[in-house]
Amino acid sequence: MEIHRFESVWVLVSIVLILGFIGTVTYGAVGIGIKMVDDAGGTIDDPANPATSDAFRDPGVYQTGQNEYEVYVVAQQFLFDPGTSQPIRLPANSRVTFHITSVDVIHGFEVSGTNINVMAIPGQIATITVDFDEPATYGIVCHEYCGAGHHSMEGRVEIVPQAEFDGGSQ
Amino acid sequence: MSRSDSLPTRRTILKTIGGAGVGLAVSGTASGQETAAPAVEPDWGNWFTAQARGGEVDNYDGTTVDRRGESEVTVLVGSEGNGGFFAFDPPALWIDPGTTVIFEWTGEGGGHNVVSESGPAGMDSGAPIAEPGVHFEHTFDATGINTYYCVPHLALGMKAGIAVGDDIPTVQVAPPGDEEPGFEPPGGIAGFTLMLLMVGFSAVAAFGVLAGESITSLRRPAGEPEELTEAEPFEPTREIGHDEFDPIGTASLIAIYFAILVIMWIFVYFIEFLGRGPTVIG
Repeated sequence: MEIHRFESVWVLVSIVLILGFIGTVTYGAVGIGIKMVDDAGGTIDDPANPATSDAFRDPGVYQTGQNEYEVYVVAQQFLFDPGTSQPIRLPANSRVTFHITSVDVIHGFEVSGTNINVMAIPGQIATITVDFDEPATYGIVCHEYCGAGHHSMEGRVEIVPQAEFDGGSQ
Repeated sequence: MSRSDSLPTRRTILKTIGGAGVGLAVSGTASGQETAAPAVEPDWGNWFTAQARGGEVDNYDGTTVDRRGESEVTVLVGSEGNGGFFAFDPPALWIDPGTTVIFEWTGEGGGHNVVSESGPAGMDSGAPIAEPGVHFEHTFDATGINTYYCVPHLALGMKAGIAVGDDIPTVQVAPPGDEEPGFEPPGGIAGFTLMLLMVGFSAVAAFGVLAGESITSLRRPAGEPEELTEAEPFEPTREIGHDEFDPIGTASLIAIYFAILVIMWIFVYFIEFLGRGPTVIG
C-alpha cells in the first residue's frame, strides 16, 4: 500500500488531536474535579409527596458545617420551592450541595450562566455540589418543557456576602 | 359551606335560560332578563384581558357574580379553566363589606395560592398548597376593587377579582346576548387571505405545468430519435509517480480544518465550559 508522505502527516496529526481532546477532558475530571450528575442522590418512596421523605420534609437551606450548606429544592408546575416565591439565599465562599426532586413531571434546574444544570425527575433526588465564591444573583430556569406554564417557571439564587447571611432555614 | 353554594348564582342561571330566550324576544322572559342583569358592573380595568400580566382569563365571560347581601361566599381555587385546573371560580365576584370569602382548594391542578395584585385587601395565603380543603379565608372590610392571582399559574391566566361594596368604580354593561358575533374566518382575516392566495397560486402553478406538458408533447416530432455520438477517449500528455505530486492545496485545507477544530475546542471547553463557574464538583 502506497501512503503519500502528506497523508501520513495528517493521519498522525488527527491522532494527536483526538489524544488532546481526551487529555483535556481527563484534566477537567481529575485536575479540576468536575463531576457528572449520577443517581447517587437516591429515590423517594412516594414521589407525589416528597414531604413524607426525610430529605424533603421542609425544603430550604441548611448549614451542615463551616461554609457548607445543603439546599433542598422541590420543583413543581410551575415553581421552585424554594427559589420562586423566595430566593435561595447562600453566603459567598461556601460549598453548597443541592438536592432536587420533582413532584409531578420532569423539570429542569439550571442556574443560568453557570454549569449547574440538572434534571428534576419525580421520585429521584438529583444531588450536586458546587462552590460559590463571589456574591452574585443568578436566575434559575426550568429547561424541560413541563406544561402550559413552563415559560414562567423560574427562580433566583442570591449569593450574599458572608456578613449578610442570616443562617438559612434551620 | 359546600361547593355547590358558590356554583351557579341566580344570575348565571337566568343568563343560561335567557340566552335561548333573548333571540326569541318573548316579552315576558326578556323583561325578566333586563332586571336580572345589573346595569353596572365593577370596573376591573384590564385585569381580565391579555393586556394585564398573566394574560387573558378564559373562564371570565365578562360578567361579575353578584353575591352582595351574603355574609359568607366560597371561591373555588383550582377550578377548571385556563387549560387545566388553573382557575378561580367565580373569577369576578361582587360582595358587601364585612363579607368573609372562603377559599376552597379543589385539589386539582397542582399547588395554588392566593396573592393580591391590587386593592385594599392585601391577601397572601403563603406557599402554594395542592391538597383539597379550605386553606385560606379573608374578611373584606374595606370598600374597593381587589384583584388577586395564583403565583405558580399567573402565566396561565389564573387571576380573579373581588369587588367590595357599592362605592366603587363601575362600568355600564349591555345586557348579554344583544349583539351577534360577526363572521370570523378561521385563522383571522390575514390567515384566511393567505390561505386563499396559496390555493390560488397552487392552481396557477398546476395549470402551468399541465399546459406546458401538453404543448411539448404536441411539438415533439413523431419521427425516429437522433443518433448520439461518443467523445474521443482522453489521452494523458504526461504521467508522474505517486510521490512526485505534492497536494499542497489539500494539505492547507486540512491544516485550516485542524486549526478550526483546535480553536473551537479551546473555546467550548476552556472558555464556555470551565469559564462559566460555578461548576458541579460532586
